Amino acid sequence: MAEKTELVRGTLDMLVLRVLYRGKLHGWGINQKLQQISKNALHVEEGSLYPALYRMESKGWLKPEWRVTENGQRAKYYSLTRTGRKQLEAEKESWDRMASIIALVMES
Amino acid sequence: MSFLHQLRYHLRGLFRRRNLEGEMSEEMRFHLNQRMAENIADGVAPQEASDRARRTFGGIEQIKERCRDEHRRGFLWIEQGLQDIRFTVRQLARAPGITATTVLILALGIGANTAIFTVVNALMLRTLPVREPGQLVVLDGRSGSYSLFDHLRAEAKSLAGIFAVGHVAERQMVARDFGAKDTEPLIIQEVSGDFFSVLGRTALFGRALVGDDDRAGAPEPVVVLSYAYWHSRFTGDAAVVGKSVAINGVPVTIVGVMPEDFFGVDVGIGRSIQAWCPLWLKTRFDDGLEAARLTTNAAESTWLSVIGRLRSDTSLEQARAELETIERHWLVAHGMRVSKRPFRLTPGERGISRLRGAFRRPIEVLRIIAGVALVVVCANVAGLILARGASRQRELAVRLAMGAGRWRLMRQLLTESLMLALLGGGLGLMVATWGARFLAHLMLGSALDLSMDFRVFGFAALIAIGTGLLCGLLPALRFSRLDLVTATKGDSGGSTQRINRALVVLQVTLSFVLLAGAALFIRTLQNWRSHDYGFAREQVVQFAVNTGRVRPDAAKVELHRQLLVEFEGLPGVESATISQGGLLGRVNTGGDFKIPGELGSPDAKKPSAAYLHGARRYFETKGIHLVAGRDFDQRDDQPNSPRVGVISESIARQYLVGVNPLGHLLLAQDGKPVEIVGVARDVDLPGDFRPAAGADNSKTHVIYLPYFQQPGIWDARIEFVVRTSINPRALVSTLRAAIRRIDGEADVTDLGTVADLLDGRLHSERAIAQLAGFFGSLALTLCGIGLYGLLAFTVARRTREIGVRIALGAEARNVVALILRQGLWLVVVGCVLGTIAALSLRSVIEHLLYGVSAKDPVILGSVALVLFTGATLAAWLPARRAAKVDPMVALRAE
Repeated sequence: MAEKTELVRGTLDMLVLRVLYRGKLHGWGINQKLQQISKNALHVEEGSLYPALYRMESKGWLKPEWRVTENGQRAKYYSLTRTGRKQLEAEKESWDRMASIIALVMES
Repeated sequence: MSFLHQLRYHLRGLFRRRNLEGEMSEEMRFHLNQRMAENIADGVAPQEASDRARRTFGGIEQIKERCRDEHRRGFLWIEQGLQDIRFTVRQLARAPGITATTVLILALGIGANTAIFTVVNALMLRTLPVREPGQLVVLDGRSGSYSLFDHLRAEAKSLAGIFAVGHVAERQMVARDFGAKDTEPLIIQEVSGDFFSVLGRTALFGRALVGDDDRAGAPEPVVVLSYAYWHSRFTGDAAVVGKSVAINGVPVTIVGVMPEDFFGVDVGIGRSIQAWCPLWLKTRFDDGLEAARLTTNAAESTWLSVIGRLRSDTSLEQARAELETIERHWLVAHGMRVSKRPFRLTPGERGISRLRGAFRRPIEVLRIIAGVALVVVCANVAGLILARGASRQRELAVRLAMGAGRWRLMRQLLTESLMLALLGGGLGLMVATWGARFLAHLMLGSALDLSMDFRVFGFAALIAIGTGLLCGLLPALRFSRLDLVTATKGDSGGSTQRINRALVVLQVTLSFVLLAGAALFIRTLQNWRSHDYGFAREQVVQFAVNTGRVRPDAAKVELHRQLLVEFEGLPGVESATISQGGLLGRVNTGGDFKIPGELGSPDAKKPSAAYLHGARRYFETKGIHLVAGRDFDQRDDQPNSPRVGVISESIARQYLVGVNPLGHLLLAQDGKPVEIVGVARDVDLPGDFRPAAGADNSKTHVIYLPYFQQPGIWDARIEFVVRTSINPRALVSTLRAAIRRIDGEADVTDLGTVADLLDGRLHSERAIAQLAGFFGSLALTLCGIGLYGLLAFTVARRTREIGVRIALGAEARNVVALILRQGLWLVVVGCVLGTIAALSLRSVIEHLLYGVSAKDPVILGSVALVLFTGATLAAWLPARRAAKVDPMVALRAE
């Protein structure tokens, strides 16, 4: 198991949006996907994930929908709304800018 | 988009609170199950797998709580709003009496304003229900002679169409094809043939009139019915088309029925029109005077309203210029004087209405009155809210102390007043529906379409919200600035009192203005009622006889003379005469005259006068005093007798200076000479809606001619006047029977005493007086309520102090005086301010007053007296209560 890294503050929303950009997923699925993509390097607490989902839902970025999974269980799926997509772009842009600025400073 | 989405989401969340909980639990259970399954797949025992899953997940309840918070935060404002509303409903329900009073007061204020607006909307703002009303233009009144209209119709290139309408008139109909034998009145407007096609409206069924219906040799007389008349008279029977009725004795075919919303172009009278006929039918209706206007080249008698439709590529100004040119050439070609005033062309999308000009100012004044009354209402309601807020002060202060935001508190107080205002507005709409009908009936006495459209609803909503904000803002500002320390101690601050006192003064001031206005308008109405018009008003009955059939002149004269003799012989009748055209009759004819020899002041203009026609004993019956000469008598009742006339004093004064007018000659409007045999005292000719003269001293010149010497005016409708010694109302059946004895088809219409008829003309004076009276009393009542509330509150606050005073030996009357003084002092200030306001506002109403000055000290004084009396009554109860304070109870109270 690789060493787990804590999330940079305020980036959870962006990551969740990014994961959902590929298609709708339920909370568990988002959690798994984040682990999988980051090769288990990221540690996302359920205690942060679900409130974040509800926050984004109430802001109108996510649209919830109850569906049946492949295993025949009912689960709450989230998908991006149009505003959610715009939000993702905006956050990615500001993240990129921030990252390049930090890089500039650190490499000086 | 995003906002709407959010709103929808929140509302869903709000109304499905339980569902959210269920969803949350299920979602998290799913997560745990997945984790557990994963653990089991890793080879962990089921019980251990489940425990481990829970451990990784963390505190489920904490997470749920955080989710709830996140969920809620997004729509906090909606939830708070609903909370405010729920809270307000509870608050209002706690004091149902005050709430109901407040809502009622607001409903009266908002309703009255909305009612007036509804009438304004119906009369002035609505566009006609016709095709592209924006293209319609109303031509200058100068184009209202038939010959000029006809010429314009042929020549004007800038108009896509043009039509003319005559006056709305009552005719006699016998519905022969429907088995009826009796005559019944039919209200008709005669219109030129293009009327319907230019307006772009077709019949509901059958057909509308076309150009070919309206010419001298039209194949058959036709009529088109209005929907309402068809519905009520012919019970909506579609088989009316093709049937025939007799109108003034002429068989006319019904060719169509118009749709329900169509009423022509005449706003105000349009709704009462029952049928439309071609203009040219006038020649067949035996309408002596009016028919002549069609056939003769009488350019100076402008009696039509002419309306055109602009071509889409033409501007109003281009059309105006073209019409002016055509008019000028035509006038020159006919040897007539060209007016210097430019030809007027005005937008016609809102139709025409004689009512508009006459009522613009009265309605304006009513709007001001209602607006001022609304301010009084606002001040009163603000006072009520303040007073109630003061008793809640401690509660508010506690909430502030516990960290409630001031903005939040203010919002809650505003919610309360807005809710009251909206309730009041809702009720006010009902008040307005009823009020508008009442107002229209009172002022116009005519049928207006008073249905409420988006404008009326918008107006009502706007003033309801405005009222709510206005009467809520003051209390809200006041209480959101509470000083916590003093407020929690229970000392309801003096600043509430100060505001409340200011509000009472404001109410007294405005009430003073309203009451003064009411008194002035009531006095004006009284003055008009007792105004001396120069002719008798009591015991004189006037009526018209419609003789059904078309007759040759000789037969007509014979019939009219027979009727006159019959009336003279009736029991209870002192004298009877014919009074055609004027002095409250239907037709006011004016015309030139000339006095040979050019005596008196040689005026550049030809002098003009009103021409009235009478039979023997005319002046005696009408009660017009003869200054010199004689009344009409038997001699003048022969068509071929020597032509004579009576002139009004004003003519003699101006044109026959220093000459004995008797025996002098005068050239009447037809150019023929008449011998002056009498001079009559000047009379006021009441105009159409209000007495015209009187306010100023310019009396109209009048020339009286014998009816039987003027063949041009012999008509199927003839007006009689009877002087009676008995109750005029008892005369009706006798008269009707007498008429039937002579002509079975004839009928009496428009019967009334002169006093009634004159009163009937005071529509707008009466309406203003009544409404001003209503608003004045409303304001007075509100003042009373406001003052009572203030003093009751004061007494409650000062119970302890009063107790001490009484304990120290103050007598009951001293205590009463103490409280009364407090209240009456405010009334004094209000009356002083009110006098100043009333005097500075007087120019607004002065032109509507008659026989009374807006500065009248008696009126202003009595208004002050009324206010003082009312205020004393209102202050008495709290003062008595103060005097009855038991010092022991009061001192122990806290």
